[in-house]
Amino acid sequence: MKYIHYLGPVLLFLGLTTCVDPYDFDLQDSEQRNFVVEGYLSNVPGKHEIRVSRTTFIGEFNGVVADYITSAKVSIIDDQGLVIPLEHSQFGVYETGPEAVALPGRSYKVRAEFSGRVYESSFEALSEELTITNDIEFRTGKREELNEFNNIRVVNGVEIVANVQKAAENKFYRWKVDHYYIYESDLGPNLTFEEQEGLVGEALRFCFIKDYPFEDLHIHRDIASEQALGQNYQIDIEFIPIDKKFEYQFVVESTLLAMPEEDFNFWNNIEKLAENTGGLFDAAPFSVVGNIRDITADTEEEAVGLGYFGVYNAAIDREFIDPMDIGISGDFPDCTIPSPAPPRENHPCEDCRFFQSQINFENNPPFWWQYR
Amino acid sequence: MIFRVIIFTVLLGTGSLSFGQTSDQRLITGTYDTSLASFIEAQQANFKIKVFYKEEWVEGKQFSGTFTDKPFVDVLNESLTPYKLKIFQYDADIFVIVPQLGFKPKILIDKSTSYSLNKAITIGNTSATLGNTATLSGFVIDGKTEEPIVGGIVYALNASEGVTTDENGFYKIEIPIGEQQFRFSYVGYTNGVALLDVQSSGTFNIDLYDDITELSEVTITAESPDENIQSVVMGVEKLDINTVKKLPVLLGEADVVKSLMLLPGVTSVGEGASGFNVRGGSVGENLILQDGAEIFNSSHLFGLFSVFNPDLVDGLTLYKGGGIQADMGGRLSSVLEVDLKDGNKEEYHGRGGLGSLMARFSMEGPIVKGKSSFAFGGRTSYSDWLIRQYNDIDLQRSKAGFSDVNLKLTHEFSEKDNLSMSGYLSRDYFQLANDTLFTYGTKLGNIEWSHYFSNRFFSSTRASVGQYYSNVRDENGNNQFEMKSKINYLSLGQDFTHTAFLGHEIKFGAKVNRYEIHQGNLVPLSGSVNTEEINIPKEIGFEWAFYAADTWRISTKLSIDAGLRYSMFNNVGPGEVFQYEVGVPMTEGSVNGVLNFDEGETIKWYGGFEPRASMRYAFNEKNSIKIGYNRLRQYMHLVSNTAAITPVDIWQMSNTYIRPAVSDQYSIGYFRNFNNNNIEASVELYYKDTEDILDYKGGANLLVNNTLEADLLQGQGRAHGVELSLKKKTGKFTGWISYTYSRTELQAISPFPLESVNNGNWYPANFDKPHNLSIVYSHKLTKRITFNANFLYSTGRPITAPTSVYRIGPFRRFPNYSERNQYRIPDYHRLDVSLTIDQGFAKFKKVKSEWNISIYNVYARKNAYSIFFTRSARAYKLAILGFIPSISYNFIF
Repeated sequence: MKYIHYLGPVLLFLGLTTCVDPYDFDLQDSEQRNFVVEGYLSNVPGKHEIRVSRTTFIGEFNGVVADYITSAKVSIIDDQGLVIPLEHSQFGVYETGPEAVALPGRSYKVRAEFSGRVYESSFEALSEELTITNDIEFRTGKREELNEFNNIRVVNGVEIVANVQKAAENKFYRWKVDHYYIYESDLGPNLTFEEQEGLVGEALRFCFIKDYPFEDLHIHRDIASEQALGQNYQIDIEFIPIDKKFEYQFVVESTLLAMPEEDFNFWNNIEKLAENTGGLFDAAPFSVVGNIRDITADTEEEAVGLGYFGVYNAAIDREFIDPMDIGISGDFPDCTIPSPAPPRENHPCEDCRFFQSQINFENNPPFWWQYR
Repeated sequence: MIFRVIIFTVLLGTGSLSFGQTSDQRLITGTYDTSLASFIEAQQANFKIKVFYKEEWVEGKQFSGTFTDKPFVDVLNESLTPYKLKIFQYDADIFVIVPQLGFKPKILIDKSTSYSLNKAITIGNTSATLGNTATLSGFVIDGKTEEPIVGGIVYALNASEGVTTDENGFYKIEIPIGEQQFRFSYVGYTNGVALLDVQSSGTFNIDLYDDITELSEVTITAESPDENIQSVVMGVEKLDINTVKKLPVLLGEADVVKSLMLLPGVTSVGEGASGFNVRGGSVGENLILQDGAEIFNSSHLFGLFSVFNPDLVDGLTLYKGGGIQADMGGRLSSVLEVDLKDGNKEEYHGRGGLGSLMARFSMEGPIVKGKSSFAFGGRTSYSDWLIRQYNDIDLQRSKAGFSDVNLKLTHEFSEKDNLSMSGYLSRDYFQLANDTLFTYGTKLGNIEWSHYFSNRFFSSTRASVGQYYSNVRDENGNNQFEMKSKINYLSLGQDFTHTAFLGHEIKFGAKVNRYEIHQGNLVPLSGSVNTEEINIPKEIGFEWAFYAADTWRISTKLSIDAGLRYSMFNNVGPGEVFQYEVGVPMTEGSVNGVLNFDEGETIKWYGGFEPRASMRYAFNEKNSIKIGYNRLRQYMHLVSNTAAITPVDIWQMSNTYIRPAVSDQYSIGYFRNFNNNNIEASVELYYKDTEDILDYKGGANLLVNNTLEADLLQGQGRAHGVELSLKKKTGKFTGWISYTYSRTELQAISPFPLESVNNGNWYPANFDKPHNLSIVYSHKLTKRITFNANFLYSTGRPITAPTSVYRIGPFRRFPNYSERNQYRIPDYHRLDVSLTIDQGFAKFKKVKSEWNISIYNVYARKNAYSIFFTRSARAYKLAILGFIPSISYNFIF
């Protein structure tokens, strides 16, 4: 249970003195790199992704490019032999065509071939329930944090919650959350949204950025209750501190995946491991076994791969958050960008493309964007 | 009291004892059944002697028996002993009756606890001699507190024979007829020495005084000099509470359990961890008894302090593996007996202390003077205020603490019947940031009746009742719940000790424990909208044990201790047993049926013999070799998948799917004393094999799990080790060095390969720490100031570490872990020092006080409490107990 993790902090105060230092294990030569295949196919037509990579040894990944596999042959195969091919896009991500969809009554498996090895998932079926409801909300909230002087400060932010309706049988959910927002380079070219449309290779004033928030696993088990059947309740999804990202428009896009209990247990175990800090009161870590197997391996133990392939009913919901919605008025301070070379002083933003990285911006919003 | 002073003044003025007329000239013959006072009066007239005594001492006491030419002193001493009185001959015609407890031999012979060795004290008489041997018996008493000294050593030097005193301080030893020197010793007490001329069986009582009271040298010893050589059984460690209190302490609190870590073969998984590990056994393989009643969690504040109040503890004995004899059992690795002290039957005394985190106070005294007593004590922590000093949001809203109380009552119904009762209550709480509150605690009650059928046949009858509970309550969010689990315990035991046969001490008895385990009911609270109610049916089991054992002194060189125990366990209804689909792994989903059992109906039965045997061969007075073998069965299993046990860990009894664990331990040791027994050295080797040791599958869910057996595995364990020990027991500098090399490995294989731990290969247990070194040093700087130091070193414990990461989604990293326990945290070592300053040792002071100034981890070694991992699997070493000074104040009145 989660609270057991707090036993460690209790000892911290009792011990009076604490110290934390980085520690490096001497990894044993026997460690093998393992193959990772992860992704899903849903009943919502669209581009679906399968990620293929290998494990990265501790100590290698800080500043080292992850070991993405970019030359695998990846496909999704249904139980009638129909093959959905996937093409590599970037960073080990393989994409289906724009209209890939899981059909009711069908089972699917993923297949990845690389260096003479063939990894496959088990066949996973789309559950009969085709329509699910995804309903997220936002509201302003506060959270207390410690500042650098170890004093409490209150942080204003936006709380994202999901409305869940009690069902007649246990349900298992995972929310996948992405953020989109408009970012302005205050000293950038004096262009409007419309004027910068179609510009390539030029500095931009406004960027539509798809943010990659730290991907917490948002999973939830809805426990069936006859007495409370149909009753709504809310669960916390995330808290987003308010900053310049909210200056124009901020969008939270959530994809709700309804999954079988077995799939949920996989993600639940993954989450438990991610929370495990290795303390005296933490449950012993373990290898989470998913449904990926190396079908070319000689033994069952050697065949175990990492990752999971699921086939889910899905639903997408987006919340558009304008400054007025959360009580913000006025401009935020001008943005600054750290200089890449000495002297490392911050200088004003002249091109919004450099705000975060050069891969997650667009000149124009996605098709579903709604200006207010 | 005035009477005593008068007597002592007279005796001191005399300077030495003289015996103008031997006692065998005054012989008693005939059958008597009269008052003690009448008998004494009659003999005064008969022998023309004068017997001094206080009338109130003999008032209402009877004298009876049939005697034939038995010396007057022996006859009277036999009758007086049950009343804690004794008679001695002061002059040719003058005899004095004194309370045994008030008779202080040290005063008689000026600053020594010994009798004169120039003149032998006669025991018995030649006319009563039968054969070449005689039985000497008597009591060894703490001269200050008037309590019996339990586990004291009585040793006949010439015969190289030794025995230990029982829970009443009573001893009995078979020795050759003739004159020889006897030594009476107990750790922390000044030795008593007497030259006895044993002519026939008789009695000899002695008081011992602890070093503090007598302002003599501080002695820190774990064993008496000769016990190490002469005892038959290996692996028995005794610690006197005075020794424990003198050790450097963490946060100013003496700790009974932590002091065990300084002994060879005893370790723990880390600082602040609850419990201890003995010779390759998990924490759950230790049977912990407080006055005979079982304790399921020996820690407060998650392991920072032990549940034993040091002010109320008399002493502790740890029976390690091979040291567990036939009269004990139920756990595979050790039995820790913690004896609470009896209250003082004559005077009221109090003790107390203030430390950094807790306060304690205890009182003791007579209820009916000389007959019954009480001892009461309590502790409470005040750690909440400390939490709030920290600039941490969660900690400022948190609270954690504990309190406990002990009560012990004793009553002497007659010279042959004693009754003692004890009770214990404790409660721990922990609430972090107004979130989940969990509480846990222990309730214990114990009653024991001791009865002497004769001076060769002794009986002890004990009944205990107890409960350990653990509750969790969460009133926040959608998943509000309350979870309650507990284990109820009821025990009845009957032990007999018989010494009628020359050279034999025969023990036999039986014991039954009833366990009722409620592994948890998880109930939604009124504000909950998404909590599943889980009710796990209670489990009931009866553990029976019957045993017989004999300690046989074949010769002065060779002794054998052999015993046979038969234990059995009956898991009974009401109960439900899930049936699982065959050929697939056991999971909740593979349940295909349920068998129901009515109340009292046997669900599963286990049983088996547990032979125990030890042999000692003494080459001479200074060295001996010992070998031992024992088999142990454990029916109650502590289920945990954390490195250190937690208060919410559950106990699981053997049932349809969980077999009892069985271990066989083989040990051999060589013992050698030097420098007139002042230096004691030993080396012991052991090998232990365990079958059906409980393990768990990866990702096991152990809490409120209806199909717990589906998450468990049963495997085997193997442990071996060598324990080296060197002790200096007397002098200004005392202490010991112990080094242990040990390995403990486990193997858990499932019919389904993916369930096997580490692919079915042997792997190190959580507590496998091969090298352990402890050095304990004590230096008496002055009569009032003692310096103590400890040094500990151990190999780092095994850990399962992330060796690589993998990504799910664009940026999220997840750890990929090594095989279980494939790596180790860094080695551990630290040095502690303390200064104990006694301010009130002068006897005229009514309140004696003591300061203990300790520094834990003097050189501020950053020992790894744990290696923790960030979300990106980066490893960090967390050290929590750095340089920690502390001061505690203790008082006694």
